[in-house]
Formats: sequence, C-alpha cells, structure tokens
Amino acid sequence: MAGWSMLADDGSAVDCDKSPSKKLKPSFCVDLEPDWKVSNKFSEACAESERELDKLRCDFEGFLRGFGKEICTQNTFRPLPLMLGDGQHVDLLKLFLVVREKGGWNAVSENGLWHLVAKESGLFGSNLASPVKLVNIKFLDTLERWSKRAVENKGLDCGLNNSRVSFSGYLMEAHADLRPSLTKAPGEKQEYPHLELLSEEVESNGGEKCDGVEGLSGLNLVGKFGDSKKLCNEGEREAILLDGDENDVVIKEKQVCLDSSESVANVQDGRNLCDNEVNSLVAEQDGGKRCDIDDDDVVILDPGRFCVKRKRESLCGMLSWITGVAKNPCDRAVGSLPECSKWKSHGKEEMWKQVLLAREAIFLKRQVDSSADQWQKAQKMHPCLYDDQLGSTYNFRERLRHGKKLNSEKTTFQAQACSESLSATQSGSDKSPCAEVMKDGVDNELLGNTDLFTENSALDKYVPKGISWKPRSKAEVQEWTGMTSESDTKWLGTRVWPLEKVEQRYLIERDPIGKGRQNSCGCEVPGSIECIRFHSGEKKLRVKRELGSAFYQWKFDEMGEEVKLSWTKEEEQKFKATLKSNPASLQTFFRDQKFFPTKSREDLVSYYFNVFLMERRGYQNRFTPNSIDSDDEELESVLVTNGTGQEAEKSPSSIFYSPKKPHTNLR
Amino acid sequence: MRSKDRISYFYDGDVGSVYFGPNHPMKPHRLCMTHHLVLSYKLHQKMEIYRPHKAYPVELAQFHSADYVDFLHRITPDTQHMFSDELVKYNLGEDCPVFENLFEFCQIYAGGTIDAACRLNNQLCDIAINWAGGLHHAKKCEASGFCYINDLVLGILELLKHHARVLYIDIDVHHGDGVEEAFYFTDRVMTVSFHKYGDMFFPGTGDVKETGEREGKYYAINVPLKDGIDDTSFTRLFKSIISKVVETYVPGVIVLQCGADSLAGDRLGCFNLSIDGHAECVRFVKKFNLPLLVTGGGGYTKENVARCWAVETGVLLDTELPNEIPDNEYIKYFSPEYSLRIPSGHIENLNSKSYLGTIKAQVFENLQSIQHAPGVQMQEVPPDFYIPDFDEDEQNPDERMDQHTQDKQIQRDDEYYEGDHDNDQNMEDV
Repeated sequence: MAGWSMLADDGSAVDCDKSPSKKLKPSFCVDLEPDWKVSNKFSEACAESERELDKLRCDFEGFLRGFGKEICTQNTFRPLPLMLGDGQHVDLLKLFLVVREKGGWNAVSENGLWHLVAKESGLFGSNLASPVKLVNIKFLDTLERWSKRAVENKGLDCGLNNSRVSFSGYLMEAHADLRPSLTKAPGEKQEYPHLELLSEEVESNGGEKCDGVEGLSGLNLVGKFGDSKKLCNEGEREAILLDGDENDVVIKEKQVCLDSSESVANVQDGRNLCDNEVNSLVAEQDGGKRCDIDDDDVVILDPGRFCVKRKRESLCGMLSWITGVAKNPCDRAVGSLPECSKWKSHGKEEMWKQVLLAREAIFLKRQVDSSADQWQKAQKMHPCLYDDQLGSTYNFRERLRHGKKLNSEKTTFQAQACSESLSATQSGSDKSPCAEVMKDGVDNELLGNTDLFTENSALDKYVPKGISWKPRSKAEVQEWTGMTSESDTKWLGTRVWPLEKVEQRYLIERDPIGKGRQNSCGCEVPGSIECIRFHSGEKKLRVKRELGSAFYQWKFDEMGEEVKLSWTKEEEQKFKATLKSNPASLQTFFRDQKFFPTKSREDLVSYYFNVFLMERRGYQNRFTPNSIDSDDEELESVLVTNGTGQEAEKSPSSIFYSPKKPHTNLR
Repeated sequence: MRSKDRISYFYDGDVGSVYFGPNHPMKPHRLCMTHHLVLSYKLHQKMEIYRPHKAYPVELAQFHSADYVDFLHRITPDTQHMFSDELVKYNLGEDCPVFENLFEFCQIYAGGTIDAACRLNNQLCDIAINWAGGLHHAKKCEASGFCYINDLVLGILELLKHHARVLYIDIDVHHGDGVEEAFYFTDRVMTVSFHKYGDMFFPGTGDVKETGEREGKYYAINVPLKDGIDDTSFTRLFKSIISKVVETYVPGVIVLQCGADSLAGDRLGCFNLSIDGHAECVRFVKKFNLPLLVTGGGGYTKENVARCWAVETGVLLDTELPNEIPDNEYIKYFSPEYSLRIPSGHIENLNSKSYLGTIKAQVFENLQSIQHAPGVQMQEVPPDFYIPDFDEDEQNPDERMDQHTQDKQIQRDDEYYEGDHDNDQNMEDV
C-alpha cells in the first residue's frame, strides 16, 4: 500500500524537482485532489440515510486495510477505497458480496459473469468486466485466500488494533490542524463552510470515521517513521506543517501522511528514479486512489488548482499486464526480460520496466514498514496507560508553532525541501525540528487515543445502533482448542427423581399417564368447590404416595391450599385485613416480623400464593369468569392507587413499557 | 415406557417462596405451577429430575464481574438504602428490585443451567430442561429486565468447553440482548433471537442489522417482528431460518430459550402465538437430534406459562398431553376451561408477508456470508495453546472424570471435529 504511495510521491517530488520555483501545492494537489465530486459526496454522506451504508462499507474497508497491513510483509496491498479508470468509486463490500452471491471467484470467472457483477455492484458503463475482475484479484481475492488459511486471528486483531490506535492520533492531529487554519487566513472565507463541516464531522464522528481511515493512518505512521530513520529531513517535515497551515490544500489527517511518505519518495527519487512519466502516472493513479480513501473526510478547498486530469488507465494497464503474465507466462506477446544490466537502458514505455519500478518502490516501503513495526511492537501497552498526556499536549502546541513560523518562510523553503531531501542524511540530532515533530506525532497518537478512548473507545466503533454498548459486556470466550477442556463433574445436580433407592411405595395409580381429568365424577355437584377440593386432595395424596421423599424435596408439602391448614382463622383474617389496608407495601409486609411474629417470610409468601391468590382466583372463576387476571395480583391496590396501575409510570427503558398493549382484560 | 432421549429436568422447590414485589410481573411461583402441571401429567416418569446446586459466586463470576456478583450477594432489602449509588450502577431498583432471597434465587436458576450444561457435556443426557433459567437480559455488570445473573451465558460458557460451536435460539418476545452482547465478538456462539422490535419495546435492541462484529460478524442473527404475529407465520419463519442456520453453522449443541411471553395474552408480550405454535418451535429444534439445553425465560401470565412449559416438556419427551388438565394443587388457576389450549390472541398482526419476506431475505443473506467466508467455515479454530488462568477454587481436585466418559468424549470429538486443523502445531505433529 505504502509502496504505491511512494511511487505517487515520487511523482510529485519529481514535479517539484523539475521546477523548484514552483510552489509545492500543485504537486500536492496531484496527490490529494479528488474530483470536485468528493465534496459533494461528503455532504451526501452526511445524510442520515447514507450513513448506515457508509459505515458498513467503511467497516469492511477498514477491515481490508487492517488486513492488508497485516500481511503486507509478505504481500503487497492496495490503497482503499478505489476508483475505476473513469472515476467511478468501487464499493468493495458490495462487490465482495455480489461475487460471493454468485458463487465466488471461480464460479463467476467460469460463467463469465463479471459484467453482471459489475452491474450489480453499482458500476455503470460497458466493458467493466475486466476492471472488476482485476479489482477482485487485487483486493478481495487475497482476502479470500488469506482467510482460507485462517492464520493467526490474533495477529490480525492486533494489527487492527494498532492501526486504530494510530488513527485516533491522526484524527486529533487533523482536528488541531484544522482549528488554526480556521481561525487564520480570513481571506479565504468561501471555503470555510467546508472546513467547518469537516471539523464538525471530525468531532462528532470521531469514532465512526475511525473505520474509514484506520488502515491508512497506520500507514501514515509507517511513513513517518521511515522518514525519521532514513532522512530526518527537516525541510520536508516543515513543508508538511506549512502545508497544513496553508489552507489551500486539503486539510486533513491523511495529508500529513502523504507528505511524510513523500519525503521517503524523494530519496527514492534522488537515488534511482528519473522516470517522470511513469512516476507521475503512477503518482496520479495513486493520487486518485488516495483521494478516494479520503472520500468523505476530505474537502477540497480549491478545485481550481487541480492540475491536469491524467490517465489513470496506465497503472491499470500495468496491473492487467502483470495479471496476464501471471496467468499465462508463456504467452509470446509477453516477450522476454532483458539482462539485468540492460535494464537501465530501457524506457519506461516497457511494461516490465514499470513493473520493476513499482517493485522497487514497494521494496522500499517494506523496509520502512519493518522499522515501523518495531514501534508498533513497543506499543502493545494500551495508550491509556501512558501518562504523558500533558507533555504531549504541550509538544503538540510547540509543533504548531513550528508550523507557523515556517509558514512565513515558505517560498524559500520549498526549494530547500526538495534539494535537501536529496542529500539529507540522518543528522543524529534528536533536537532537530524533524525529530521533534516525529516525537510529537507519536505523542499525539497517544494523546489522541487517550482522549478518544474515554468517549469513543476503539470498541465503540462496533456499537450497533441503539445499543449502549459496553465492551465489558462480552464474555471471555477462549479459542477452541480442538479438545475438550477439563469439565467440572461436580455440578451435575442432585437426582431427586427417580428415587435413588426404591422406597416403600404403594403404587395404586392405575390411571394412564397424563390421561387428564375425568370428565365425570361421583360428586354430588361436579365442579363445585367441594368437588374440586376433593379431587385435588385425592390427587395430592396419590402424588405424595408416589413421590415419596421427592414430595418433600419439591416442597409439595408447602404448596396448594394445604398451606392453609397451618394457619389459624385469626391469622388468615389478619393477613387479609393487612393486605387490604396496605396493599402497596406487600414487600415490607412480608419481611416485617411485627405482623406475624410466628410466621417466616417464606410462610407468608407461600400463604399469599397458595391460599390468598388461589381463593381470589376461585372467587373470580365463579363470579367474573370473563375478566380474570390472576397476575394482576393487587386488584385491591389498583383501586387504592386510583387505578392508574404501575405500567403507566414506567419509563420506556423499562421492560414494563409495552406500548399499544392493553393492560386490562388480558383474556 | 421411556422416550429414546435421556432427559434431565431441573427443579428446586425453593423458588416457590421467591417474591419480586407487589405488582411485579415476574413471579417465580409460575415455576411451581409448571412443575405441578408436569407432575400431574405424570411426565416425571419419563425423565430424571434433579435439584440443581446453588451456583457459587465464583461460578457466576465466570461471566459477571466479581464486584457485581459480590454486591448481589451482599445486598438485602434492609440494607439497600445505604447503597443507592451501587443500585444505580448495577441497575437495580425498578425493574430488578432487591428482594429477600434474591441471591439464592440467582444461585438456583444459574446453578440449574450450569448443571444442565455439565450433564450435556458429560453426555449424561441428551436434553436438559431448566425452566427456572433463561434470564437473557442480564449483563456482565448489571441487572436488566428482571434478570440479575445471565444463566444462559454461564451455561453456554460451560458448553463451550466441550463444543466448538454453540447455537443459541431465543423465542422470548424480548430481544436476547444479554446473550447476544456476551457473544457478539465470537464465532463460537451463534445467537438467533426472534422478538418484538420497535415502538421502544424493551430492550430496544435486536435490529436485523445487528449481526455481530469482528470474528463474530454474522454470528448474531436478529429476527425483529412486529405486534401480533401468529402461529403460521411465526413457525414458518422460525423453521426456515433455523434449518438454514443449523445447516450453515453445524452447531455441536443447541441452547433454546423458551420465554413464554411470546404467547398470546401475555401481560407484557404482544404476539398472538398459541401454545401449540410456541411448542412447535421446540419440537422443530428437537428434531435436529443435537444435545439440547432448554430454559424458560419471560412469561408473565403465569397459568399460561405453566401450560406452555408443561406442553413443551411433553414435546421434549415425545408425549402428547391431553387437553384436559389433570387435577392438581393449582387447578383453579386453569379455570374456566381447565384445558391446555388457550384462547388465541386478538392483537392485529402487523407483520405483512412482504415484511417477513424482507427480514428472512436479510437473514439469509447474512448467513450466506458465513457459508462463503472460508475463514469461518467448518474447520476448527486453530488451537493457540493458551492456558487460561484457572482459579484453584473453581476446580475440585476430588472429582475425576471416569475413563469411560473420557473415552467417549474423545471418540465423539473426533467424529464431530475432524477437519483440517490448519495450524502449525498439527503440522509438527504429523
């Protein structure tokens, strides 16, 4: 990924080299300028309806990016999101899903469905089959294969985390960059709405936006560090700041990153790249993609400055050439590669030469990357734990001051920046502005993250809408080890039934199981209180005989209207009277020993459920069979409390809250 | 005559004396009624009934935060006025009142689900039932929606010791948010919840778009429904989604939360399901012949809850229950018909065919993402040989698994989980 950006920045650096008197800005524009549409897009994205989708897409792209970063030591990965040659955005998520829906890569290829895929992915135009296929190879196929291998889930996770960490910092930084520029340069008022919008966006959506840029910011870091290790190029670094304050180039987090990798590119440039065209093409291509990345985060303030519209196809051409060769290496059309020594004499119009240049750039990126890795490794500790927040805030301001100062010297500076970049060596002095800036950058990472963590923790980005998500709500699930772990056999319960040893039981039960009630009985008045009581009692006796000790284990002896037997008439009267007089305080009543000193709370509850409510139910059964509500236990209380019931007062966050639900006459 | 499945049923008579408070719709007494009904239908003769152990705080802390468990342990109605901050912090109070034997109640129902999971793990039964469990709203550090301890999460964690993938199905009228949240980031548990969604209905989550994240992306399925869904559309939707889920996910064990508040006429619910429709879901899940852990859940019209769970116990025992309810202690509650069937609901069904079709299509699309995402296909997650920090207290050194049980497990694991273990360790082994 960064490899491409380096190529890209080569391009701009070359531009810069060619015309040192020219301002830096145009060349930056190459990198940063997306279509003017971008700003449109941005506002569209603000629309609520789009946000959901965007978020999903961002999530996916964020994942892809994190994923790309993870494997980029073995494999190249591409910047995201991307555009086709004609400037259409490719919705990778959609593409991915569409391809999968069609049965995967192989199925689609075999059946020649690529044009269909393109159409369904929301891309318009003809002949899109091969670009779409290419996109798939480049972006999604790797993901598919890689995930097939199912390697080191943890690693991936970690990688993602790291990039998230770095993102937050950039977000902060971008924000801070924005602020001064907003207050400064009053002459450029017409651009402010955009800026403010952006800044608001950055503010309010801090957490969400995280997805969209996380991978990239990881890259930023790479760029920066590569920078410090390799160059320590003051000029370059300051040019960045200058840029940030300048306000006519895009002001945003990614910019810094581009700039920093640019400095790397400059060296590259000075050393071995002289191919203007290829590089600018590449740069341009890359620039286009980068702009995409920025998508809704980016506001281009000055579309007028956008340089030349260049052909993006060329890189696509190279890529498809490679794909072609890979697929069919013996094809005569490919031709053969000349001796190594003769490479230099060939022009960039040769495809293989372009490929070599690209490879070179990618190689460079890897070195850079590895140095950045070191930092990332050291960064395992959660940024929250760093307590240098104050310090970094300070440094941050310092850094901005540097930027301001430099701003005034900008013209001389640019020339310097470029020339110095060619000859820059590691100064070794940590006090150089560059090093300081580096440090600030790191500090800001930490600062930003610390700040963001409180409000929008990394996990917040997974907040599904409407859930007050607490990351701590998740259960610790170990990864499956393929073998069962030691299981506690202690807790299997105590068997109550069937009885362990056959107790003396007289099985007189001859009714078939679950036969149900007999419809007829010998009672004088079937269905009367006496009848029911008789049959219940009879049944209970049988149950008791059959269950033996289980009968007591299940507390059947404490259930049913039998409970009544242990109560005296006076006690029952008192119970009812108390309940009637003070129905709302049932809970206290049950606990309070003063009413029934001889009864335990359990006794009271048991009496309440088994006798009191049963009797009431029995009463209802007979007199108001059409409006029975045994669960509205406080019929009396409802009357007492003016019939409002409790539900009406419940807040919507309560489970009681049940709109449109008639609370009366449930049956 | 025994059913061919071995069924373990958990019940503790102590729940009868649990009282949430005046006008609180949650009445553990419904469990007594259920048990009575089960016995009156003589279902106990076809199964084993266990009294669960009372789960120790340390067991509860396997999911819940230790401070929360500790607080639940300590708090009593008499002392609660001194802990107003904590009450707010742990969301105790209105929905989740502090009552006398609160902690014991939690210990019983959580112990039941843990025991049930253990019995399944040790293959001592094929189906385990704990009607006291299923309190799916409880969060790691707070109570919610009448739920204090999330026994389902604890049970699933137990099942995960022996199974690579656990499927959780929730037919409570409320979204199974606590369980979903607990396993939102993992692909080792797939949660499927059918629930009422919208109109600020509790708990407000469970949109079809909430599908899990990270490794758990697409491993949380939500089927949001509107008021008044009836048997026909519910069971059809349930069957098509669940069969697809089982086919795709190939779980090793299923946990089924049978909240009875999705029945018609529930005090808090708003669906039109009959007991037959509700039980049909249980029957369908049973047909997969996978180890099955069945729990209760919501259900606030308690005679209907008892009816429903008795019928479902019968379903799990392959026993059709006659409609006339046999005499039992609580027969009065089942008047005037004294029958199992309940009048069907009369709430307008707001679930149009097209709405249900859209939901189904969306769920299927998400399921496809699993099917075709190679990383999460049916090969196992590679072992990372991480040895967890085990609390000595949790392990009982006296207990050993007998060799027979162990052998059986090993065999079974091979059967189930043979796949390509694409990992370094295995490579070295080969």
